[in-house]
Amino acid sequence: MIKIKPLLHEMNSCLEELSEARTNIRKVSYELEMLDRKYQRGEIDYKNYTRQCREILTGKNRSQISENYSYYISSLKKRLRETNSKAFNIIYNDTSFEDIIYDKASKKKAATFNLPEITSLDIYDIEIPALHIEIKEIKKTKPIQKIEIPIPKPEPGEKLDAPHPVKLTFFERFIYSFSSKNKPWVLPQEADTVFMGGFLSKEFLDYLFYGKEKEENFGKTKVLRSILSYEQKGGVGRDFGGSKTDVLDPYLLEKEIKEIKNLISRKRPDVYKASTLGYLANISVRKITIFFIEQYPDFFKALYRDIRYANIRVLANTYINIVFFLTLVSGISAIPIFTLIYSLQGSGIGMMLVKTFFTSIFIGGLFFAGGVYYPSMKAKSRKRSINTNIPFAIDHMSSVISSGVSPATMFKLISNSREYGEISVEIDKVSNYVEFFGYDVLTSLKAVALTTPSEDFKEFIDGFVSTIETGGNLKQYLSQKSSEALLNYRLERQKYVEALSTYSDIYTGVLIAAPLFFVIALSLVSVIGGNIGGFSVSTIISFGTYGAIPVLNLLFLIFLEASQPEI
Amino acid sequence: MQKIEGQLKISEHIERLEVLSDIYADLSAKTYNGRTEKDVAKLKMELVKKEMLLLTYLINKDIDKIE
Repeated sequence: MIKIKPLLHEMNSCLEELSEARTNIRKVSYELEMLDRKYQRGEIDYKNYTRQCREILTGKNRSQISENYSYYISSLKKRLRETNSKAFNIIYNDTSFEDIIYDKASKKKAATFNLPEITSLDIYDIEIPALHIEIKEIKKTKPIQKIEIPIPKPEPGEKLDAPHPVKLTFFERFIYSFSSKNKPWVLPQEADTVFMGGFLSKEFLDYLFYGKEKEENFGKTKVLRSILSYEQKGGVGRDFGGSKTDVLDPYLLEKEIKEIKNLISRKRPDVYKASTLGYLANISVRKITIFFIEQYPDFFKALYRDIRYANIRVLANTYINIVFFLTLVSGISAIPIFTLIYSLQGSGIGMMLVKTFFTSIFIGGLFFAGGVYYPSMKAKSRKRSINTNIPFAIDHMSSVISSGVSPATMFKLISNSREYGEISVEIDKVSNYVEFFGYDVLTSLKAVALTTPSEDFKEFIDGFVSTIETGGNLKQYLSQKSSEALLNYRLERQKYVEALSTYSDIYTGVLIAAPLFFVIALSLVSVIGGNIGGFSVSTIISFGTYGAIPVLNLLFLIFLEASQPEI
Repeated sequence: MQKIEGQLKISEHIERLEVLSDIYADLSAKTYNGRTEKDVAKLKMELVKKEMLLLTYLINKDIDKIE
């Protein structure tokens, strides 16, 4: 039996005292406030004000009253805590459930048998009397009569036919195939990769002439592309004068549509496809590649790094194998071609062989150089894209995280937005690591930081990770980083705009005013007659107009492109 | 507002404690037929006891909120 009732009553009285004290202090402060107002309005003079104040404060000043109040409250809290502790002790030490009484009287008595006492060790023959069992004849029961319960037939109701999908005519199909982004004869995942949107394919002709559409599988459901296009764009029916009910019966297909919509909105992971070229390269030149990698480790180390930074969807080893394979194939295939060309030119055999040898080496070298240079070029372009987008991405992250979502959800939201170029790709990797590989966010971020080409983004990720690991304020970190990045962006842009104004002055002087002066001067010279540097004036004017000025303009554009800042 | 909230919560916890202590007292005063019933009652009482301990913890936590 736990006797905590008195303690609970005491606690209740403490709480009542607390409420009373709070009411009192509120009353006092309200009275004082009213008195202050009266005094400020000039309704009472200073003497009266002090007198009434003293009455309210019972001879004490305000700070004393407030001190007393806080002291009283803390003493009540202490009392409450002590009483609570007492109650806790009583409850904790109670073991009365160990000694529950149960009714012994109701205990079932064990069956006892009175066995005859054994007087001697003789063996008795026990006579067992024969069993007399009266076998009664089982009376045959009457067969159960079959009761026929009439099953009520459903009353015929109104027959509702589901409306059939609209069939487009040849002309409508023709317009639809060119006006709509959706191409019913191609699967959506293949739409980007198909040559010229599949207009040259047999499927397109089938669609145009026979109305055959490519069926798309969504799990177990097969859906016609026109239905999907209806759902996404408002319907083919709308474009061709039909109504919604002509295309879909909302009552019959509502559930299916919901399912389909879910499936459409669900992101499908990109799966790397096996490369046939990579397979060929791996089995043919692998040993050669390994030999070269061992011979020149520093060169290939940089290449490996660039391949990772470039996010090429082939394994680094396979990529190098492909480069070697293409180099060899192009070099070897150049031999017969150039042998033929040089033989047709009428070169001697020795000269022909030497020329062919060097040409094939040159072509192979070109392929090799292209293969080696491509990853670094792509890595640079990715770096530029990341650096350009980083201020806006961080800003977005900051606003998302301030709404109280977890970092994993935040990364998923950002990767879904697809607005930040290569940053979206990098963040997509993070959410893939989390969703498909089951890594935690920190490990995923560290893995992405290792392969990102941008130093700024790497620094941002490192800061993000360390903020989480040290228990820092992520919201504060992101907002700080966001303002920093935006400031840098603005400064860089401002610098670039200032530089551009200088370039525009140079452009005006060199490529607009100077050619104008030259043309005028040359026109005057042509009137006088004579040549300049052995060329006639008209030749120089033609050269300047059609050659020099366009080339200089082109060079200026290249210069502008090259001088553009990374941000 | 928070001050009053803390106080209200404490009074709620106290009410629950009172109810639970009554239940506990009833369970301990009863007589039980058979071992199974007794074991069930024992478990119930243990559960009530734990609930009560939890409530005391919650009261302690809410006392800090009072200002």
